[in-house]
Amino acid sequence: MATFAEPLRPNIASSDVPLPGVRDYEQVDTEITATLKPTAGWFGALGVAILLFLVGAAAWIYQIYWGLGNAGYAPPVMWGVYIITFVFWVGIGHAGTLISAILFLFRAGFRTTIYRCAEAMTVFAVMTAGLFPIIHIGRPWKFFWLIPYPNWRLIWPNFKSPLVWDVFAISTYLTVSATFLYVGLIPDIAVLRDRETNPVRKRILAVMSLGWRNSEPEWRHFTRMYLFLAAFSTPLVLSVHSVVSFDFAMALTPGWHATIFPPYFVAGADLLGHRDGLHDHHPDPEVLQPAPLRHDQPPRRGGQALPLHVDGGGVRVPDRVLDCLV
Amino acid sequence: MSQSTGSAGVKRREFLKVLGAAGAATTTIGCSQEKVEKLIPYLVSPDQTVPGVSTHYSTTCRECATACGVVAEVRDGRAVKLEGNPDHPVNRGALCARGQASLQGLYNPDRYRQPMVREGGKLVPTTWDKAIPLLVQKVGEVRAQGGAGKVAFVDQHGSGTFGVFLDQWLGAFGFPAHLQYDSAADLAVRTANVAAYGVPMPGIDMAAATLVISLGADFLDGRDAGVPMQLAFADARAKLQNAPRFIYIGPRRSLTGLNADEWIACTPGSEEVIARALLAAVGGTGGATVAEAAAASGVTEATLQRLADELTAARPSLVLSGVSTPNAGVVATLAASINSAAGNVGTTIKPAEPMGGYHGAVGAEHMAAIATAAEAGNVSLLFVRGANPAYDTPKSVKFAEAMGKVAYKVSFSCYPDETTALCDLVLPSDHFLESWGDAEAKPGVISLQQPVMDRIFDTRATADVLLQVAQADPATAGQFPWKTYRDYLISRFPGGASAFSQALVSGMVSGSIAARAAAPATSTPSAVPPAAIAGDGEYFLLVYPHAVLSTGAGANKPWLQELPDPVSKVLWQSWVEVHPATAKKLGVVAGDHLTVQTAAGSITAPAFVYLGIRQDTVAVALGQGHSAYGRYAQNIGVNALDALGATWNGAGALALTQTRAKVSRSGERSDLVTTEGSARQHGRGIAQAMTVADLVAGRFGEEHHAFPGDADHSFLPGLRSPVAADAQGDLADPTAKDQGMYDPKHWSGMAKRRWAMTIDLARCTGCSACVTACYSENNIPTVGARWQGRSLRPGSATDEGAWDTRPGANILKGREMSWLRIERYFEGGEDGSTDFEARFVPMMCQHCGNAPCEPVCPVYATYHSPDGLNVQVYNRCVGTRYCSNGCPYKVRYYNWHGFGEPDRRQYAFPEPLHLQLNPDVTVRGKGVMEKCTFCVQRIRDAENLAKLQNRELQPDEFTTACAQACPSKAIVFGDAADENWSVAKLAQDARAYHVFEELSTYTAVVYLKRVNHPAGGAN
Repeated sequence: MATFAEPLRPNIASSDVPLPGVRDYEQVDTEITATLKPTAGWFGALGVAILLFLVGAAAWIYQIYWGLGNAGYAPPVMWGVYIITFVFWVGIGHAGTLISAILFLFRAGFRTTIYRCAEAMTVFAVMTAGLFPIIHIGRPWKFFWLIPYPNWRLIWPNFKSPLVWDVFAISTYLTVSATFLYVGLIPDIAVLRDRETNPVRKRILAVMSLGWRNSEPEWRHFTRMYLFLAAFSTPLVLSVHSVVSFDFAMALTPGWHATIFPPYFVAGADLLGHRDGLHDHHPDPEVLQPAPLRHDQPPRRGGQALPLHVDGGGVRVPDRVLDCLV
Repeated sequence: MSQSTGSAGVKRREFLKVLGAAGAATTTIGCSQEKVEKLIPYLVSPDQTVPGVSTHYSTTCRECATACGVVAEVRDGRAVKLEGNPDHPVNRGALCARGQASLQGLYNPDRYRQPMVREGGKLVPTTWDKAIPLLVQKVGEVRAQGGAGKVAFVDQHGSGTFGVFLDQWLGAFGFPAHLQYDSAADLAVRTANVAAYGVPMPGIDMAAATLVISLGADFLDGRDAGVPMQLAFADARAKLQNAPRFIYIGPRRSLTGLNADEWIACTPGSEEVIARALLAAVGGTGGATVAEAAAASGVTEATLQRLADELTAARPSLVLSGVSTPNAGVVATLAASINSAAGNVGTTIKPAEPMGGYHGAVGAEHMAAIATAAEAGNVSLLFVRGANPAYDTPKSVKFAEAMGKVAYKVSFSCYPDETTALCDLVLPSDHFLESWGDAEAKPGVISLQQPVMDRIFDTRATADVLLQVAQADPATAGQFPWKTYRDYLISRFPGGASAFSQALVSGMVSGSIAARAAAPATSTPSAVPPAAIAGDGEYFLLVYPHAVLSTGAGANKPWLQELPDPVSKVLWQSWVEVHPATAKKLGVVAGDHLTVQTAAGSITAPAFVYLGIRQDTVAVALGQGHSAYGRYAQNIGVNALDALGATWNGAGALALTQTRAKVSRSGERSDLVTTEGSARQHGRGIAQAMTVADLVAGRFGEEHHAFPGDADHSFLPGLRSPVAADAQGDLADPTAKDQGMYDPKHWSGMAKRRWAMTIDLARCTGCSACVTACYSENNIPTVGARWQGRSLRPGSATDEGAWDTRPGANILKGREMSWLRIERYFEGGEDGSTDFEARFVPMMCQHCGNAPCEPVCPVYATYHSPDGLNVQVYNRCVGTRYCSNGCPYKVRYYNWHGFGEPDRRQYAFPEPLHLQLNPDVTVRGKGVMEKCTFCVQRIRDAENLAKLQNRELQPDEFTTACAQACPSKAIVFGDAADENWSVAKLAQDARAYHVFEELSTYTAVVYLKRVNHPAGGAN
């Protein structure tokens, strides 16, 4: 850990900054649990989302029936909006990993307000990204041929093809991100379980929280696991988007066949996703930012305001750099 | 066993009862409610038909008067492919695009399926039992009313016994002899040839010439005797340093002009003065000097003087003429005189070995005479067969209106067309592939025509119909004792029926057909001096027959509509050619509509900017603008004849370049439907050429330098590429036990072969016959029809707003499916000068040894076979389209809309076109990639046949469809790993190069550089 000078902005997650609005964990738990109750507005938004989904499904069925000619491709350009969208969504997913994993490693305290959303966003963004190659291909009902599974035809996919590398990269990324999200959620699900009165929901939450008992060894394993996954996700982000860039770099097409593509893609994804992730999310000490449900402290001792201390000080990404990225 | 009657178990009887009932019930349920059908094994198969095996029949093509011999491949009673007859002296195994496309005439969805009669103002279907008596009745009426001398029979142009038979039939009824109308024939040249050499088309030996001068003779543009002339031209040019230099003189650089070493762009009509100057130069009485010629033609005196000097020095030379101006007859006579004066007769012009089949055609002037007679009430009965005068005569002739004055009109046409739409009785003829006949392709060689399959629809051969009519009348019945036309043919055949049957095997027999009566005299050519090109307007209007559609006959065949014009690469459209400077002056770019206005009418079409036309000339092709010729031809483009008047060229044909025109922007624009990406190579080295001087000096260009790490370019059997040994897996390890199919020692022997192809650009003329042959062989869908294009708005098949109904809509999006295309690149002439060169490159899948498409396919739908093919597995392809990203040649095509699925609106083979589909080749479904396969079905077929016959494959035993069709014999295919095959030697030629060699793709297609003969070069 290098030395650091006078902080340019207070790190609200450290114990140095008092948050008058927060008295104890109990209060935090209550307030956040309250937000989980769906409102009419939430149902309205869900309805809109379902409507859009149905429109999308209808469009896709229409495209499958009529063929990809309806997507407006004009040879010799054979790749268009669907591959672009795929790359875009993978990049968006990287932003979430950047915020939750990379900023975690950098001990950036301001991530605490947003990292849970970002991580969830990553999982869904990668799922969305994984959908687009299937929409893009001409015979989507055969997409599973890209997955290596033993079959009667005794044929594997072509492992020399970057599209098959994509299959591995994206599925790995999805798995790791989902695991990362889930593991991080376990203590928080346990809180919900403790507060839940409905027996069915309580059972579900109990299973999901894997019997979390908020004990010292469990916390120790948790932090190690979380650190490991964060450390694993970071190079994974670099490699996944590099592999996605190989879709272009490995083709002979002039303009694509260049070695700059992996860093170009990774930087572009992180820039784009980071912008989207952090836009308007400057921490404002004047307003209470709901902190994620965390039990990353030893159990509270009766009503005392305890510091929301994530981790020690140490290396922080200079705020100026972050400003220019946002 | 106790007899416990009160037991709870099942008694035996009960059990058997239930079993019986259940069994009966089951079998009853098993009975289907559907119709019972019978399966009869093919113990007694139809004649000469083995299911799954093709039978080949020799016959003769009748698409034009050349009468090439064709071999029809017939599978299960359906003709699926036409190929040239290799033994035929006229075409020697080649077949042009129009000949290939005649299959789409046979299977045309708009073909008449039964006779039609006009009732209540419309043509309604009828039966032969009613139609023939109706004709008999009408014929009787005409004779009874004394109108026998006023009957006109307009037939298509063709040699053979039918002409004799027809005149015999007409004579028996007291009708005048028939006319053979050919709107595309160059009658002026024929008349002049008869006067000069005694035959209409003397034999041409181009290989013997050292200089060929064409005064507008477009012999490579699908005109008269297209295939034999192209064969002769290509053979001559293939002599490389000994090939003749070829100079084209004319206002527009046609395809023939693009194949010339030099283009002299003269004013329309000034070919006469130039010819006079040349005649004077070789010692004849020309009557003009070089200076006069320069003044009249707009060509510099220096150029013309050089031309005259070259002609004088070149012995022997060859001068051909084919202008379309009113003075065509004069120019043709002058050309013949030049040949005589230069001593070419007997060496390059061989009247003793004429090309057959060109006797006695008449042109549009005779159609105008018929129209005039009809207007005056002097035509009592009109018969039309294989001709469309209501379409291909100028509006001022008013043929359609005149037809209204004819009491009764009978058409024998296969297809609805503008003339037949006005007829009272339609007796649809069998297609030539369904009927008997013969032709005199070359004097001394009779080419036989036989039906290769049973007729598809309820049609009848015209000759048989005429025989029936004759036999219905007791007065004439005695003269026509034959039951069918076949019997008539056999009766005239030396040797009778058995000799006839024997001759059908080869399709040819030596002999000659008694000529029919001399053709009616044309209008007086010499007394009246030809009209000058007159008219209001700044520009000359040059009209020419389309190189593919001719004067309109080809427009109802989708293969021909989809074939890009070899010069402009425009398809499914009409266009107006203008020089770049003219375009700038008019303020148009390609696609802006131009209105061409003459005294006769006006036409509007998109502009095409073309270097190969004079700045004071615009050109429009004939062939489009049909109003009633089937779904593929209707309302596409404009009919250029709308702007022409009834000006003749002295030999009875229409003078197509007869007037000046006012050309102006119409204000509209539409995208030009073209397959051309770029007209120039931009230094990419795709089409390479060298001069004769370089060839002789052995300077083969710097393209032969080696790249660092470059491996040997020789063809290695089996291996993908010398640098990709890892692609072969275990083969890279010599000690591995299982070497698999890629091992040359494998029992299949596949890895011993290396299929490759050479394309000699010195021979290729850009005619595009290979393209149509590929469409025919490989079930390639056409995508440019009006009902195949989608707009971006969603909608069902019947929702017209969801469809883009412009012809060629899919082509505008680049979605043409031609596996083989002819790329045409210009070199030079950036300043708008006439000194530019055109190079043609047939481009298909190069079957790269180190293919960029193979490693990127995620599902192994494309991989390299042990015998050197880049294989495409249609049912494995998921359609990621990654392969075509990598392909530098862009020869991979994607099935965007399911053009092969019958229940779609975009289906490319509406019934009965689907009968033409080759059963050996998959019809690709939606979402898969396809590309040239080197006709892998032919490769495997030949290999299987060799295996069945327990022998090795013979060198040059078979070839691909494109190589087989090529009239230039430019493409050679075979096994490059076996030195006995021709391709192995050709691939080692010093002129050989690969396209994009620097990408290390190691292509299996080798191009041989074109050889140019520039002025003043070593020749």
